Amino acid sequence: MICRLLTQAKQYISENKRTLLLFAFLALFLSGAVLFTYFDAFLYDCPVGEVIEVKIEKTGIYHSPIGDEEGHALQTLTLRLINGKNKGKFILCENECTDSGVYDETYRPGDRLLLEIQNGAYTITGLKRDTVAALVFAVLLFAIVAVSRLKGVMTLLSVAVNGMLFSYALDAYLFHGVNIMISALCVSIIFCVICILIVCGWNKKAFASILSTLVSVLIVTVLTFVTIWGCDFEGVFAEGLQYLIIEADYRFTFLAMLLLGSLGAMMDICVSMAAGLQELIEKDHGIARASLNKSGIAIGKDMMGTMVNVLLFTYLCGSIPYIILVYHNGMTLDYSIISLEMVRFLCGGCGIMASVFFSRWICIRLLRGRDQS
Amino acid sequence: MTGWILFGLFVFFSLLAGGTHGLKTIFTLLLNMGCILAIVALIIHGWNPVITALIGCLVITCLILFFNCGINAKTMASFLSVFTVLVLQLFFVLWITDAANLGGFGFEDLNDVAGYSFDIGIKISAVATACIMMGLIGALTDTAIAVSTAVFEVKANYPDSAFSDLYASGLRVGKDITGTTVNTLYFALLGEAATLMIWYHIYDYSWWELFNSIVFCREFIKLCFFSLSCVLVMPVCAAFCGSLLSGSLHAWMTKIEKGMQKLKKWIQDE
Repeated sequence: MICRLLTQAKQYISENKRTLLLFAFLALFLSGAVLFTYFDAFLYDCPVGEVIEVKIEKTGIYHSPIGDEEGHALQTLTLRLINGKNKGKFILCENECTDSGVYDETYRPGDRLLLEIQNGAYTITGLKRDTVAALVFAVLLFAIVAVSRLKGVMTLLSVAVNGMLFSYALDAYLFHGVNIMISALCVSIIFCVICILIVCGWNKKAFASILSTLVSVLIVTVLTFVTIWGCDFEGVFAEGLQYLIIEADYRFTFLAMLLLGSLGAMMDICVSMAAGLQELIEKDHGIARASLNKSGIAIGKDMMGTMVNVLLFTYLCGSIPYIILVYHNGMTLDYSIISLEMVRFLCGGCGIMASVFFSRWICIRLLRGRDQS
Repeated sequence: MTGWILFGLFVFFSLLAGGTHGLKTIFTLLLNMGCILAIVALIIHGWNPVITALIGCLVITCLILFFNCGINAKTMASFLSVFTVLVLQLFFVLWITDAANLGGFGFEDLNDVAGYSFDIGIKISAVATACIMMGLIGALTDTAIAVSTAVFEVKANYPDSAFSDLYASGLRVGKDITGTTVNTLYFALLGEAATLMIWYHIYDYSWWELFNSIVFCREFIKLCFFSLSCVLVMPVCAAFCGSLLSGSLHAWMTKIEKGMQKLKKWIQDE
């Protein structure tokens, strides 16, 4: 049994030498990059220290408004500076921490911390997280290349291009006075064109997907915005938007976020619909419109249930820590806590359903062409 | 009020897009929402967040798969692959949330959480793990169903195909849907984090400040884990489908299907 497996493995290796070599090289490169972020303290402007020794001293038990018990402690950390002109120097720092760690951090020997000099003394600003972020990203990159090869690389590339474009759009909004709604609309049209061209290539299928995405985005955007604005944001607590700084046009900001949030799901549906219908048309050029319509409905049925679930879970899970915090402070939990997430989800859901319908309609007409008879 | 009108709009579009199937989708959706609420309620009453979320995720997967698509080889393969990837990833997520202390609120959150007592008595990094696990279950199931449906189509059209053919066709479909799935997740998270990006733009964070900020790191690692689960489930699901259809698990699957038929018959007779 083992002998057979070994010979099979040998055969596989000799057949796929180039691919395996490429993967080994990629893994080496990625682990090198992650290691680099572990030793990149010399790039930082602020002092960075490595925790050498931790002394912990319990300072008492506190209670939340509904009576949960929580232990507080004071850590005395011995840190060794690993960058700057005082490199190698040992310093002492104090750190207050709790068992739950809601707004504080408990450090362990080996952790690297970012420091700040205040009044001549070092204080801790936070954990150095870039190594962990790099590690997770490296694992994702390796997995996506191993499974999807070139298409995976293109996907990550399109995400990166979108991130840069989004940053330009924010520049236009913040520093050139463009309305956030308009800049979001422009940028989502560009996103849509770029993403679909990268995923599908330059062909008829891509144009059908782009057209159906744009049509569904426009229709759903207008409908949901008229609804929300028509109800004067009643039951939508947009002023409670997280991380809101510019409060003058928070309503526009929220609507722009709605548009961006549902865009990805709509593109997904339109691309899958166009791909499925194109395949049927290629197999049989004279296929009747009615049977295409039937297949389109079947494709849509397969997608819509699971896609709506993707949005539901992605949106709702983000607010769990906040819900827990509010509950343990003895406040009543009501709809206002998740109202924004619910509105986001419902708009995304409308977008998904509408794009199932419109993409079927548009793709059949565009891809099949005129009746020959 | 606004919520209800939007819900009405949603129902209208679902009926337009899928007819009665749209109603079924909405029903599953409500069930899922109930599951999420139940999980959150259990966690805030002091159950272990990680174990509660894991069991809750499995229940939700069963609901989506078996309720929507019935019990058959296709859904069995999807369920097995979702379970495998979920358990594999759980350890990775646990390790990362602990190492980077991802659960806590950051300096940027202070506007929202100022005034609350932080002595909640629940380890918040465990809550973060639960959030990530629950967030990725939707995308994970979506990908698993897509891959297994495609493999079963191939088997239906070419009944003689061997394990390696089925596995290869599963991966081919996976390749095609990677791009769109990752984009869906990316835009959904970008839509949530747009104000955060405005924050970083206004205060002009440098690269190292950005990647060490707890809030940015949380969103970035979340996106990475969501995408990673979708990518990982493709080969796993293709392998399970292949072995259920024409591999070592085939005999076992036929037994289950026979049992199911007997059960159905028994229910009809009673």
